[in-house]
Amino acid sequence: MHLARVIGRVVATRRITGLDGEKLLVVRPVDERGEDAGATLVACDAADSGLGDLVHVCDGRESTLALKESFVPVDATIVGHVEEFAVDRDVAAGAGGVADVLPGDDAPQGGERTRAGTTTGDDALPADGPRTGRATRDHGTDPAR
Amino acid sequence: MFIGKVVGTVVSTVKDEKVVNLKFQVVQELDEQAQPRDKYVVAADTIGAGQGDLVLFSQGSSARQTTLTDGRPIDAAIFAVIDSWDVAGTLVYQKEGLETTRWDPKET
Repeated sequence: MHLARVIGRVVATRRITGLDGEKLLVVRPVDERGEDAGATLVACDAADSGLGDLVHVCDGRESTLALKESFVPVDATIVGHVEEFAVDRDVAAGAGGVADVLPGDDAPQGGERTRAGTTTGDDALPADGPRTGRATRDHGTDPAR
Repeated sequence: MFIGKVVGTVVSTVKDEKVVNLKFQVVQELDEQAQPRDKYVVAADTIGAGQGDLVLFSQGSSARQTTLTDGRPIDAAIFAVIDSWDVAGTLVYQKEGLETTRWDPKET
């Protein structure tokens, strides 16, 4: 699965039997910083998503399991909304050195790799808070929901 | 799934018996602004798309999940013809001769 932002909707009335009633949305993949990452794609929607929503998308044949009819040629489905996400920069550094490019680094130099996986909680996060992404819509006050 | 444009057909006489009676189309991938990407796939056509049509196609084992491609060595399938699509509330593409309801993002 990966994170993505809903940016548009596709209308296709002539479609294969079994996909009737499924909503097709254009989504742009985003990385762990909430920035654009990779080619935009079209995904079915199993989570009642709207424009601008931050969602997670299931890829591959498994994605059809979230739909009403599972025997359909779908390889991407939105399976949930993301209210908030956080990346622990120390754990990320152990995995791929992401800490080098994150701002607000007041951690001791050279210790990231040995501390990876052991520093958890607020101490492990930058001064400006965790690296987060937030959904742009307020689900609590949206009258459409 | 990706948006693609049908740009050609594939004719093949010497082929595995499991892909007999399938129509293959050459599909060029498009981005969300309908600009062509430098990426082409040969896809089995399950709905009868025509030359120049903008279509949706899926790849991988999902492409086998149609009655036409089930159990066959197919890894890309066209399964829908696109009428229109919007990005950020702006209409990017609309098929000629089709009046479809515009999606108003304020209503959703």
